[in-house]
Amino acid sequence: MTDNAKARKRTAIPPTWQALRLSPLSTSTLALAAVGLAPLFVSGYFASDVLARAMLLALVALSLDLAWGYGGILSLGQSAFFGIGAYAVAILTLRWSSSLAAPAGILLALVLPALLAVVVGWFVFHGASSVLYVAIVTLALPVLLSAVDLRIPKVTGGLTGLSGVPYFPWDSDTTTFYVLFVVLVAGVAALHWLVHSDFGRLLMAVRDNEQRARFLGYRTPAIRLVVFALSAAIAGLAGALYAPFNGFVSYDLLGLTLSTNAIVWVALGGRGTIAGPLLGALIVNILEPTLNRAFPGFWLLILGLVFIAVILLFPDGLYGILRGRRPLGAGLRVVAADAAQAPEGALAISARGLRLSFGSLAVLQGVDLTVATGTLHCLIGPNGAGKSSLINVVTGLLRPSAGHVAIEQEPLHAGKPDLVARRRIFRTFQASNVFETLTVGDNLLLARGAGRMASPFRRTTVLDIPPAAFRVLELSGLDAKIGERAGELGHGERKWLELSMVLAAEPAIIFLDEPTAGLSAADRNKAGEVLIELVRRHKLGLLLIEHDLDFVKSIAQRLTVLGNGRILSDGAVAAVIGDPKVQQIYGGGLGEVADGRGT
Amino acid sequence: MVLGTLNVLSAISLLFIAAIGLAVIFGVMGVVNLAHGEFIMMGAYASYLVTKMGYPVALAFIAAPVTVGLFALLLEPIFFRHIYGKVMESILATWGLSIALRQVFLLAFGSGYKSVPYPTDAAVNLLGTTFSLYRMLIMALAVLVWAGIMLVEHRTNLGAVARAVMNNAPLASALGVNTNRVYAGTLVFGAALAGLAGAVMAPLTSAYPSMGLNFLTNSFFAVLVGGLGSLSGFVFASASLGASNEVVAILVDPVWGSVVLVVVALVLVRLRRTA
Amino acid sequence: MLRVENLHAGYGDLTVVRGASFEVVAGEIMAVLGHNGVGKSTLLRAIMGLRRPTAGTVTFGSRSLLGLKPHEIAAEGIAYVPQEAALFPDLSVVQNLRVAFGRRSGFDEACTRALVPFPFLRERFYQRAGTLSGGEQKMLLTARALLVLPRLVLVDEVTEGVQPMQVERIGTALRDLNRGFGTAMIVVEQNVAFTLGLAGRFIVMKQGVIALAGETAAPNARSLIDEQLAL
Repeated sequence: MTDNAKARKRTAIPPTWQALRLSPLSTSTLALAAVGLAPLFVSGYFASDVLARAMLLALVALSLDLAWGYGGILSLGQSAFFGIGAYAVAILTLRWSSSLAAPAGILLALVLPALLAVVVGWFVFHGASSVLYVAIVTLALPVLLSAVDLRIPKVTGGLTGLSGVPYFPWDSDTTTFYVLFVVLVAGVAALHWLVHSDFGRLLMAVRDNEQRARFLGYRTPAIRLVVFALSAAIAGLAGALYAPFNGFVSYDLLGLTLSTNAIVWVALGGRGTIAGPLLGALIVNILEPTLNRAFPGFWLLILGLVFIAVILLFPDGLYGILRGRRPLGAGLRVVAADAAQAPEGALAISARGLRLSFGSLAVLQGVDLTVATGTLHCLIGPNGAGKSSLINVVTGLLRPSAGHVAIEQEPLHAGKPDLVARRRIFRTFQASNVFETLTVGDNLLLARGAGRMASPFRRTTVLDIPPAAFRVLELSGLDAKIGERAGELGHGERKWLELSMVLAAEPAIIFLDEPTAGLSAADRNKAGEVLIELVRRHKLGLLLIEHDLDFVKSIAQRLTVLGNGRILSDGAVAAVIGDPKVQQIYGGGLGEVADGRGT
Repeated sequence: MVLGTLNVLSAISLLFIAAIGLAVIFGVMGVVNLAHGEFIMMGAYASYLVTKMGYPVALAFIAAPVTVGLFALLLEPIFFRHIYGKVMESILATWGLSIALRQVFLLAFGSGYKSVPYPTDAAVNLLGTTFSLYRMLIMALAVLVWAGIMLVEHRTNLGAVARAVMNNAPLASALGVNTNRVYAGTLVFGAALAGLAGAVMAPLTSAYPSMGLNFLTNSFFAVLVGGLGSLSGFVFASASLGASNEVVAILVDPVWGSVVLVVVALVLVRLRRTA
Repeated sequence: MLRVENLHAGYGDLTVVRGASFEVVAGEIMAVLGHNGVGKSTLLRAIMGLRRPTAGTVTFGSRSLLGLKPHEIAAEGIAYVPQEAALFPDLSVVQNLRVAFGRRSGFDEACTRALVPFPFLRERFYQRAGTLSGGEQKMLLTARALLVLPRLVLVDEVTEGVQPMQVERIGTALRDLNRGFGTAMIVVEQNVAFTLGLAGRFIVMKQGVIALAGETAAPNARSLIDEQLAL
């Protein structure tokens, strides 16, 4: 069974449950409605204490879902932000007798956590971030903050904390309940809106395939920073409301208990769905007092074991299973833009003297290469010759141990593929690299954005892409599959999608890594025509890594042969093919290739 | 001054011993074990039980690694085997394990600090200051463990096989190496090291259910700053982090020492990424 | 000895090998020829258990190899010489050999025997394998395959980037293993002359299928092959 078929089988939902599949928005609405109507059916105490507390904690769960479920930032320390918010309001309202104390407290509760998030994020999201590193650093925050809290008892009340935090400016419990309810509803609504906006799509793209996003020109660290700060502010807001609600704040609010619980609620519910974490947090916190009384001490243990089971057996969470993998943004229309854009002038990227080694393995041993607009350039060579590594260095993914890359004489600093992309130099990958969890349309939307920050307020419904990109869609039949998930496309379709995406970004130069691998003969011919037209009509510069020599002979204007990390031959196609060194590699001769390493 | 230096060296050794088990498991298998702190905690409780039952405390240094190693061996087929190579799942699942273990020990032993006697109360006279003999022995142990691991890694077949699997697991498998067995063995070895760390810490900090958390983040920082799979990097990281922590702890306050450790870790990792 | 029937294998959605069927009899050497990307390496990887076939069967003796882990397949007596990432560059020469020899006894004797065609490796015993030249690495790989006296060796482009003198030594070593110990071989190659001198039978792959099969001794073998491979 292919991996794709296996994936489809894994997420298959029993038919009886399919009837229950509700969209996240409907589920959230139902859950909120149930909570809002609850005071009519339950005791006053239950509503004002248990339910109200559950709503506040649900807000924390939502902040975590934003960072983790949608941003891919596994924050094990949301409680740090919650605690800061709680202390901000508590300290100000206790120590400052002014009507401004509370608003100032709320303001600080939003700003301080966001600031901390930005500072931490600046260290942690630099380059490509590692999930583990983020997890550990965010784990350290509550540990450190609660220790610091105990160290400055004059400010924080130390072990005994701060009690007597003034209540809200109204007396009624019911009012409190409904104020918190409104805040929660606003939070849920705002998140649903954000997640469906253009920014939301960008966020999910970065979460699922940061590399692709960077190669399209997006500054992924900045995007992560924004999300993390927003998530921190929301958690801080929850803390700010918790202080007057509870009347008492202490160092354990800053500690790991709340963070850990939040992770459990979000995982149980199903991260990245909003409705899942909302339900998870509400249900667990409503049940908690009862279950804690029934199994004192064991409750947390059971929760921990359930959590492990969910992680190993139901990674999508309980709501996630019900919901199935319906993609967002199914309602996008893609059209071709009017008249071809005027070419933005010639561009060339050149590399001189590139050397690259992986440990003791020398991959590139002094390579010069120039790719310019208006040329169809092919790069061939035996396996392991270093072709992909060469492209990786030139497009900014790898740092060479010697030599440099320059775009129009401006030297390029390595390790920044988004910089190269913003100069309108793009690439495709050997295993086509697209955003698999997003639809075809969203993939194109993000490609069109080409590195510009997307708006959280707008939701694009009609996307216009350059005619060349649209033509590729038509040729491949993808124009009929705009709403399909990219991950479910066939191999050939994915290659076409990647090409269309790169074209949608209005490139000047494209590096294509084995673009025809696995394509049928018919598709290969179509591809050839498209590529030739791109160079002839649109004056693009193309460099293709290829194995199919017939294909190369039919389309290349310039040919470079790489062997053992060195350029063996370079120039016009006929000359290079006639070169005896090249004949030996491909003509099945005696196999006498000069041993590049020199014994 | 001498006392200060000795304290710094002691702090570095403690961090090294606490984190070495994690470095081995993570370096070879790429398995993140957020329950590492709890492995240490279990080693500490093993020490407590050994001494409570009347046996000499030196026995604890054998009992602790053995019990924790056995525990990991039992857990491997039902838990760890399912998360090899999956980063997000390892983090979450082992975090869950950490919660569960902490709760179990809390329920079993209560939240109180269980004290464990020092193997020796003696003090040494060194260059004018007196210093705890136990702490000197810990430093010696750290050096021994380091030397031992370097020896095994580079001079034995076991080490060569482990490095092979670390370097290219599919190739090793195609050459006949049972990679699952290597993973299980590494896991048990790393767990035993954590257990040993627990026995070492027990007299110093006493055994209590949440003690693991203090070691967890510091151990991870030592491994992350040092870089995966690099023992020398790990030693460097333990040294810089341990030293900064201790220096600030002495000059200012232990709490600010912990803060400085994290800040130094962040800076070092950030510098390495830019380099 | 080895029977492959209707094998399909690839990477994710991409099927590279599209229905290959052939048989290798005990003690025979079969060559697999063809350009890059036609599926030669994937074929070997599928047999070795490094890639799970999407269809077809692989039988070794009476045992099906499908679903077995690579080390279990190695334990059946199949050795593998990969084309890329074929040794552990940070381990020494002797350590590379040791890892492949595993828990068996008699390493020293086996080593002595395996290094007979490549005496220079004795002087490089403790040198890191990654610092050897390309040709020397390929010779180390050959020695490693000889070490365990396998019943079947899968060889993937072992002459690539190797000087003619060294190619000859490798060829001799493989031939001696075959004649002296009866080891069967599947030799994937771009170097046609080398394979014609070594193998008894050959197949030519194109676009994932077997386009041509025959005996190397046949008088028109070379011309038929050249025709298939022509640039």
